[in-house]
Amino acid sequence: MNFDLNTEQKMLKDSARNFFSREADKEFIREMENDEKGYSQKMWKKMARLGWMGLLVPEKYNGEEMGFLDMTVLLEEMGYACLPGPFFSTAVLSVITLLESANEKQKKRLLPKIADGSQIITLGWIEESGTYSGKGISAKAELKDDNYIISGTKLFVPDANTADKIIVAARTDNSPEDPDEGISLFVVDLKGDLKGDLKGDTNNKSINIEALKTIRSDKLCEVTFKNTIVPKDNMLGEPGKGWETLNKVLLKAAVAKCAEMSGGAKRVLEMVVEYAKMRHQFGRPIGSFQAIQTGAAC
Amino acid sequence: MDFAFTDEENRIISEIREFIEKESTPEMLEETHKLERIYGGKLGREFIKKFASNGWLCPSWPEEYGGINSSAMLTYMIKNEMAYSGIPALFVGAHMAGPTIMEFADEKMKEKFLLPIAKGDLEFSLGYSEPGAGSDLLSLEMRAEDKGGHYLVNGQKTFNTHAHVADYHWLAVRTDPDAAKHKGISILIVDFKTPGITIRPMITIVGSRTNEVYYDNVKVSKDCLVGEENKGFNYIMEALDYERMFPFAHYRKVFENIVEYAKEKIVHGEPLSKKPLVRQKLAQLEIELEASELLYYNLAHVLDNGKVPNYQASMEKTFVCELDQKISAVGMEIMGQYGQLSKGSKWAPFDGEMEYYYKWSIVETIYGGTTEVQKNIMAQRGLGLPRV
Ligand SMILES: Cc1cc2nc3c(=O)[nH]c(=O)nc-3n(C[C@H](O)[C@H](O)[C@H](O)COP(=O)(O)OP(=O)(O)OC[C@H]3O[C@@H](n4cnc5c(N)ncnc54)[C@H](O)[C@@H]3O)c2cc1C
Repeated sequence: MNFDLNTEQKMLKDSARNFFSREADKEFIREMENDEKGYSQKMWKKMARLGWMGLLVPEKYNGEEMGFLDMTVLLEEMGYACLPGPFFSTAVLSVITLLESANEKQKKRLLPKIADGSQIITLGWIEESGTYSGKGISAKAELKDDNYIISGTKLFVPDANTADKIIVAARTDNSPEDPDEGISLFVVDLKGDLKGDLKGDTNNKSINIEALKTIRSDKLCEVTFKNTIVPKDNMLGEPGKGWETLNKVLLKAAVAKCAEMSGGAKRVLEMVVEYAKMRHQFGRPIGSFQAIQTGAAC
Repeated sequence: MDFAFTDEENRIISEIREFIEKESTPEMLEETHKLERIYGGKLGREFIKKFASNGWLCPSWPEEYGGINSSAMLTYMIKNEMAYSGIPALFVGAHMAGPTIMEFADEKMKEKFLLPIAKGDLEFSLGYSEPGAGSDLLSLEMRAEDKGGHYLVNGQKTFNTHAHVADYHWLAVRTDPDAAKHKGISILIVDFKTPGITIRPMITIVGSRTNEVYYDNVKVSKDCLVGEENKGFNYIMEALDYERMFPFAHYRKVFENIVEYAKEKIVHGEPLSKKPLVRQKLAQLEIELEASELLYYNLAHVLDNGKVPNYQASMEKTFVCELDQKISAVGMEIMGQYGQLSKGSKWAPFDGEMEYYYKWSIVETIYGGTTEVQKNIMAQRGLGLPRV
């Protein structure tokens, strides 16, 4: 077993650390809390130029084709920087979902646009039950001629307020024996600026997006579809097999989230230790009290 | 041993419950909420005066000072009832400065302050902490120089909650810089309208406001000295034991809401409350809530027996505040995605109370003395362990 980062990963880590310490200081992060979009487009473009949006995207779709471990190195730094914005939903959740389920044509259409930073894509799966489970999905997609008609409400959808597209999990079979069956995935255009077969609905007034106020001012949204028309070519993977895909996404996303959180935790511990050395009470650094030491050590 | 409240105590509490239900309007609550949970605004002041006119604010005080000669137990019950109802329940005048004035101040000062405090006319802000003096309160440096007829006060305070809405500053100052640290501190009562005082906001994690207060050559009359000069630290220690009478029922209410949520939230065809993991957690919290009730009312019992609670107050404060964090953490777990939603969110259970109280519980283990400091007090005064 080798826990050391390789040269490439070290470079990635260093460049991420440098980039965020330059571009995402405390003031910026606080500003983003109150910002409607919750991220800076200028910075997003810079991140794309560094190849980060396409880190997991294969080279043939203009990505970096790096591994998942490399992605965790980057995410750890994002957690360390407390970086707000739609990176996780776009470059992790959506890219993994697309890699797991999209056909060649769809990948060609979507992945390069993620990689070059021109498209933000999010994933809408949770509903009112608040759980990550097939049972919780009741949004419906009905086939009508060449389109699916989607209706339902997705909750806690990250960054839907700024996303160009959303991948939605909806039922194409309403009463399967196994509730994990009968769920399909669709790419739905939120802004209607794509051409061709993935053009999506032209009447996206059928979609209502409302940002929810949360404890950390991140942009989680309620997304309501009311008879939204989606071309059937926008279905990802096989009909009814959407949950199989999401299950894989869920496992990988959990690991990715852990990487991000461990980066955040590392930063917090550093702050604690730094403060414990600096802050004096009773004529000594508070870090010299065992109550603080044992707290910081475990 | 008797664990029951008297009929008279119960009667008064149900009267108070009715009063609060009738008189605490949403507008008044909104106002106190905006003012960091103090009856400092117009509606709040009206409410608390009416409330206090029944002798309920300082019930254990003698009638001449606006009390009803009741047990300390009743004071504790009332405070807890207020906390349960979600109305402000922490008072510096009535429950910290007041008792200290009663015990140590001269007649003139008692005359001036006690009745107005008990009637809800006046509120104080606690002026102890400074940039260099938090847990180590003895290191406070704000200087009050004796200029004959008055003191000249200079320096900075931090975390002086309510200073921007209170009437008076209960101010700890150094009057003798040459004496041993604990022998050079005095307490002054300063009118916030006195020239030379500047108040600036400090915003906490919950979004609530506390204050920095600057004194720049502020002239304070010697009449404002509480008790004797340089005895201030003893008074502070005693007042702190009062401050640490922490009601727990605001979190009892939060807990009840979590239980209600678990019963009503149906996930995949079944209420959350049927899940063993959820039930275990809730049962554990109920045990600890009942324990905190005993610790809390024991403080009143100590007082009613003519003593001042000391390490017992630290014990209660620590237990209750740590429990509040546990309740909040469990609530966040049980409400899951919904727990993170703030006030005003359409999907937020109990109008976002969960995330608010989650953050508030962090603040609680700090003010009035941190958990670590309380445990040190317990270890030394309660258990007789050697000082380090
Ligand atoms: C919301 C809020 C409201 C407040 N309101 C008021 C107010 O109205 N008036 C007022 O005067 N003050 C007020 N305070 C200040 C409060 O009393 C202090 O914050 C508190 O006493 C801790 O001091 P500190 O913040 O300087 O922390 P520090 O004393 O610097 O402590 C930092 C850490 O070191 C630990 N530590 C310190 N000494 C020891 C030790 N000997 N052994 C082990 N661990 C130790 C502490 O437990 C803590 O974890 C308020 C604070 C808050 C957060």
